[in-house]
Amino acid sequence: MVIYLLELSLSLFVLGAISGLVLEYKSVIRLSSAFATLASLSLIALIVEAYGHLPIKGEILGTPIMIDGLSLVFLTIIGVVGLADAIYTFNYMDKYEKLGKAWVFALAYNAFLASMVLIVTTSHLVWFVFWWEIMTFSSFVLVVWDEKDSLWAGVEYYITMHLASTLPLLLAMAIGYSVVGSFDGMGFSDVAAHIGTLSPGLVKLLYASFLLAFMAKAGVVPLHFWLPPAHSSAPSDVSTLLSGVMIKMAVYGLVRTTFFILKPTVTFGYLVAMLGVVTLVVGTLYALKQTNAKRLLAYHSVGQMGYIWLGVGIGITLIGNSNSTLAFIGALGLTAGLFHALNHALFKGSLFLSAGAIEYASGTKDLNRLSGLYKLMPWTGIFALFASLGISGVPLFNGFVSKWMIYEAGYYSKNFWFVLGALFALLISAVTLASFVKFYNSAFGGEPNELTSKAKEVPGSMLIGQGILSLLCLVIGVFPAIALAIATLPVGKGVITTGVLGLSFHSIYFSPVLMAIVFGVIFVAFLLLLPPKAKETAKPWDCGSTLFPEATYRLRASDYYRPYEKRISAFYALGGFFGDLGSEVINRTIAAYVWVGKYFVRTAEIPWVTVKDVDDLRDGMTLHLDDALIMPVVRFVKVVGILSKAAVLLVLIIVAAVLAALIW
Amino acid sequence: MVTKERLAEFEDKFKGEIKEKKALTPTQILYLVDKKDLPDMAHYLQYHPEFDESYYVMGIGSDERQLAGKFAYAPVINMLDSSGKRENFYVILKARLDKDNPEFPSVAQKLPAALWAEREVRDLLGFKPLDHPDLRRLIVPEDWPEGVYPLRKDHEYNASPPGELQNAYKEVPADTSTVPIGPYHMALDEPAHFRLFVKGEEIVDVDYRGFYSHRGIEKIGEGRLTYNQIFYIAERICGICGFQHSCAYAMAVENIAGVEIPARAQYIRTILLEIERIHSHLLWAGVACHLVGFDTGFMHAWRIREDPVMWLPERLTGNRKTYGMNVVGGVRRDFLDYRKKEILDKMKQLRKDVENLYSIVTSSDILIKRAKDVGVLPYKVAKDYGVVGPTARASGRNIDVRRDHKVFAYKHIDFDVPVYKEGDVLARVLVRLDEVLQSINIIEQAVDQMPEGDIFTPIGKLPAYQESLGYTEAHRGEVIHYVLTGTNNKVYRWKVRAPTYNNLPAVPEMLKGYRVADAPLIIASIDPCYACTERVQIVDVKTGKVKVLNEAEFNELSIEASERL
Amino acid sequence: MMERISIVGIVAGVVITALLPPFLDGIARRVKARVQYRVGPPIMQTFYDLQKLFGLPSLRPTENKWFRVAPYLALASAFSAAFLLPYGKWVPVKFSGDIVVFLYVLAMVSVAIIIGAFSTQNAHSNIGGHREMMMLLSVEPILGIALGIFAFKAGTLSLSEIPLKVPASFSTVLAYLLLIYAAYAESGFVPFDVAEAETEIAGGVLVEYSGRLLGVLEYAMLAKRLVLLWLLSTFLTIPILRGIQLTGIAGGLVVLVVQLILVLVAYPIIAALEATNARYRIDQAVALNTRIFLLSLVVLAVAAVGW
Repeated sequence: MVIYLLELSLSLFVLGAISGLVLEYKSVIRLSSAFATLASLSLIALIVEAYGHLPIKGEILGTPIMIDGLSLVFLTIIGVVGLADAIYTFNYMDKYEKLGKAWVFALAYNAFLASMVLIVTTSHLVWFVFWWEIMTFSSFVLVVWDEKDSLWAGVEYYITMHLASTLPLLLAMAIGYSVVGSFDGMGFSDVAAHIGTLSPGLVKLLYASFLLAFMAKAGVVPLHFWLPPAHSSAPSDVSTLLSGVMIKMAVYGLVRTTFFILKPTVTFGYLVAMLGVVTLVVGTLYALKQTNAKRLLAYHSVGQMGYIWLGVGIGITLIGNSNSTLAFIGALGLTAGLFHALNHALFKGSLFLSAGAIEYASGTKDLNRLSGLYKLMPWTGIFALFASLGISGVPLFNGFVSKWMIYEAGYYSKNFWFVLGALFALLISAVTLASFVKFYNSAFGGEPNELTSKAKEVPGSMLIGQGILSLLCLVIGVFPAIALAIATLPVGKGVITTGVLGLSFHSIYFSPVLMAIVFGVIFVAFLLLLPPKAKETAKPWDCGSTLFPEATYRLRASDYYRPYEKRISAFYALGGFFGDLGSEVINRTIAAYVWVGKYFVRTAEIPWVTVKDVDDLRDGMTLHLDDALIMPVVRFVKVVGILSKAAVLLVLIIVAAVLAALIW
Repeated sequence: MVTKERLAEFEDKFKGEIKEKKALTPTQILYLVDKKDLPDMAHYLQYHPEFDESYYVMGIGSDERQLAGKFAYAPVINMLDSSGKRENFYVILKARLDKDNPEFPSVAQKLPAALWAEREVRDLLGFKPLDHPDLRRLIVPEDWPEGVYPLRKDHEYNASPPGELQNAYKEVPADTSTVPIGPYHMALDEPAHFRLFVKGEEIVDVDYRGFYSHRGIEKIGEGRLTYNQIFYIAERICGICGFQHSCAYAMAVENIAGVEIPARAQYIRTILLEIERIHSHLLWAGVACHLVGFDTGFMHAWRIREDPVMWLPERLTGNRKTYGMNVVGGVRRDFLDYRKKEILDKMKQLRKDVENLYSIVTSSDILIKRAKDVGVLPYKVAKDYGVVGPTARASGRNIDVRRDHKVFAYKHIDFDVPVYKEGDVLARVLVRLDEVLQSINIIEQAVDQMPEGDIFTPIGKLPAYQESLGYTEAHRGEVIHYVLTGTNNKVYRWKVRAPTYNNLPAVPEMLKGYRVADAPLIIASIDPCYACTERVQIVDVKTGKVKVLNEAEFNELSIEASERL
Repeated sequence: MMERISIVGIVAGVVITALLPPFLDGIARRVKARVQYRVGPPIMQTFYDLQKLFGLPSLRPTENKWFRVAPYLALASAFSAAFLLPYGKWVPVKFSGDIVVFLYVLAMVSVAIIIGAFSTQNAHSNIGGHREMMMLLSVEPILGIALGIFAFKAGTLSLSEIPLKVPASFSTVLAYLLLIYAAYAESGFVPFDVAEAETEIAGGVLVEYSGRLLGVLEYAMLAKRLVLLWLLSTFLTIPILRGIQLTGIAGGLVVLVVQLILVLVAYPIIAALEATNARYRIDQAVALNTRIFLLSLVVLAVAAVGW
């Protein structure tokens, strides 16, 4: 039944992918979204069906399938966010009607979702890498699809992924091959069984390559530089999938490979946790400075990924500890990390959808120019507020519960480094709040200005998309048991006691329901006791001045928190230094790679362009990085243009996959 | 004459333009000059290498059409030599302007100090300063019609014609938000409007609109009241520095009448002036504390201000404030001898109280932190803007009318003029705190030295069409009055220049680059007195929205108001 | 569920949180008046003020509903946080025993105020809101450090267990000091009243509020101050009474009385501190907090070592 549902879902995705055959732009989008919606629904049905019968094994298209607790967590993310996003896409993509090429979008969009479903369900290393590659490629196509400012961001993303994610995975695959001896036999369990025969050096290399691969995909500092441009320049429904779902695949990969295939080790755990701390600090503090709505959200994706890695890192470090209390804290950390991944998918998905709605309605995502949208778009306003409160970790919203569990895991570990991590997590949580105070208030607070006064509420489908995710933030915040039922699966039950009332572990407990009741009762009591009497309207108090420029009578987004940013300017200077260092390293690596590549590629297309670093690749004509995957793209760019070519390649790959499946 | 050598060089340089030279008093020299070289002359005098502390005092515009058939515009320069080698004096450069086309080359293009004066004569008299860098309206309200000039003699004192709202504000600079301070704001004691253009909390640019408390004082004084009646208004120009204005006015008229007032009257004036200074500085210190949230300092400063500082004049004059002591030629009441001890006792008490207050104020290091390195006004800017009083002395300018021009009994008294070089708010605080102690010294000396004798020299009829300046060093800086007598003991032109008028234009310069949180303190640091500054206009309702009275009702009201006076 | 609810606690919590803050404010006003050689208002003046405000209608500067809802959200947050604290031995509603949850619920007061402040087109109130946020930003890490020390030394973050288990040591004393400092700064007492700063930004977050809404908002702020103070007094009371055997209702009452006495003693001291200080500028406040944070990182390390 479960496998059947999975097949149903995948076939619906395939149908969605080929809906481009209809040709007319709007119909293509509607059809593809409809199929994606149905596919996501069947995924949700699958989750319900599979829950309680884990693990489930099977085979689809030649891919060996195994659905266990970990898969289910991430299937939930794909299903729920996919559902909301697909519904949102119905109307959102109208914005791009002039662009045409709906078939490319439909193809890549569905392939992207389908590939992620397969990533989290396959139990075979080779297939994992294969679908991983499809995911990367289809997301690349989606990023560059609208051909505006996103082109370079997409190329940078793709190159980075190849260098830092695909290569290490191929390396890992090679090591796996060396122990198992055949590609067929590289199921996760087989690889795990053979790890013991590897030399310690190779095991370390395996750890390192997995770490690098998933760091790059997750946007963990210092490999985060590709993420903000790529996520902010893509269409908003794509950003939602990128930030809400795709980067979670890295978490899945990390936990799957280094926790379930390899043994969780202390050193590696520390590394993951500390990378998490650095990432959450760097990502969020940079987010604080952003004034472009989507860029702000994208930097927060980096930051929130840091929280997840901190939780997972604490888990990997402590779960094997002989002290049962500490082992328990480890399990708590891991659960908290996965829970936070789930929560992040909800609120960040919702926020990107809201940012898309803002852009859809007002035509800009520059927070400095926005104002007073709440009056005109109250629903989008409410949804954005709920999601903002969620990500900021305000009690009664989902982000609080998972963040709180991460703090508790950090503090209770009594380990200086983890306590420090929890401390920074606490601090950064305030920074997140500050940042979203800015995001929400500069868009929705105040009165409409010249630009925004023409905005009106977005179409119903977009509201439903935002609403699903945003309300889930509140629902899970009040009833965390719903999500924890899934998030506790990978480490097993018994770690955290959950019930209708809330959750408890050891002597620690928190009952959001009870809090909601208390809060609600007091709130309503005061509202009834002292109902607001505010009939008379008045202009905001301008000290009685005449001819006052009211549109400028508010704080601009770029002005928030300047004294604080000035105080921590040393941090930004340091960050800037390391950022330069990081891109320099990447540039050097690419240069070296290009240099090596010259021996394998006969001629440079444009001889007078000497490629020294990434910037020279911007021309898009002299990409010789990876003969197998990029050269065809380059040639195609020359002939047709980057997008249609990419899409055709995708078709070829899918056809090849289907053929391969049939032959097997 | 002595003046000849002092300005020989100047007279040589502008030989062609100087038409007439006249010594109003030994220290007030009036040149009747051609308007063409006004900017050069004023610039030359202000930046005179030997009179190093010279500054532009004010610009007098007057409608002298009945008198000379022309308008007149007269910048006044205070020539000061800080080394004390030369005698200090005032120079009035009077230029006559055509009655149909009163244009003149703007002095403000060379001296920022003249910016306001020339906007004022444009607003009130319809003069046309050519090449003036910023000719937005300054004094008349936004709904005042163009082409109606209230200070011209042909304008009725009670006429208030209707007009359209006009924008007299600066454009909002790109990428800034606007934060208004005033007209109604906790940090201001009187209405004024500072429009701060900010990035975050940092002030990028500042616009100022004021003159909300115009009461038409000069207009009422001119031609309607006799020279002794004007005291009632002069003292009420301001509630804080009323006696200063009254003294300055008295001095101008006494100069015209050519009388020297009795020594005892000079001492009485001196003592009261100093009591008023102490009162003002304590009041200001309290307000400054309040602005940075230090209410204890505020309460204590005001407690001391109550007793002994206001208690004493009540005993001496019958009034806590607005002493009503001056008449032209002297004072109205004598100090009885047994009061001397009272004054000295109170001074002793005051010294103790003030020292206590200082220790309270300085015990809060936050207060110091808030004031230090904030609102810096460099010496050069202070000089360019002709800043006066403690504001100037905190920026290293060594000027003080009491000492420099030897007014009243100060010439017999030994006192220091505190000068600080830092130019920040803290320096302005310190100058004032030092001055309070100096004032106590002065009062004690004055009480000791006070001679016996008359307190009043009678003055008969005033000569017609004579002019002169009167000045005192008020707590905020030099107060200067210009009087041109008319017939029948009336005043033809009475021009009042309060210290804040010179200090306020420099405030935007002090604000730029600091934060919104500093703004109230910086604004307060010059101890602005809007009532003094804004004396000039005819009575009008609040600008803009609240035009509730029709013209007839309105006129009635203003007549009533004047009758009450 | 019922074992988490104490009727006595609810009654005590409601009475204390509802009635004590205006009363304490009255005392503080009297103390300040005395420091300033004034007579000062009657002790009940804040009640009268609130009563008057509650009776007046409010102006509506914006159509945004959050503007009107925010004061009530703030008040409900303050009371919710108050319900987590023990009154004597009775905790009204134990929806969590955790100090982190407590602090976050209390921080919701600020969040609600900030949302209200930003809903209007008014730079004064916006600046107030962003100052409030920056105070939260810079105080949070200090609280974090105090929590870290408690985690090390008491091994727990439970509200009820920290005061019971915390040993007397160098770092725990500092943790208490940090907690007191953070609570003081977080309460917005002078010199940290930057968000309201009446003479600078005309009341900041409060500027657009009037009448009943202003009353509710001020009430929420007073309640928040009391809740923080009550936390501190609990943290001091229990170690003080640790040596004495306290059981039953009598024991609970003794604890309650000691808690009350501590609060009543602390408030005049705070008032005196307020009266003798000037307000910081926001950048100075942030700088001070950051400096304290960086210094106390060392204390955290000391606690980790075991002192």
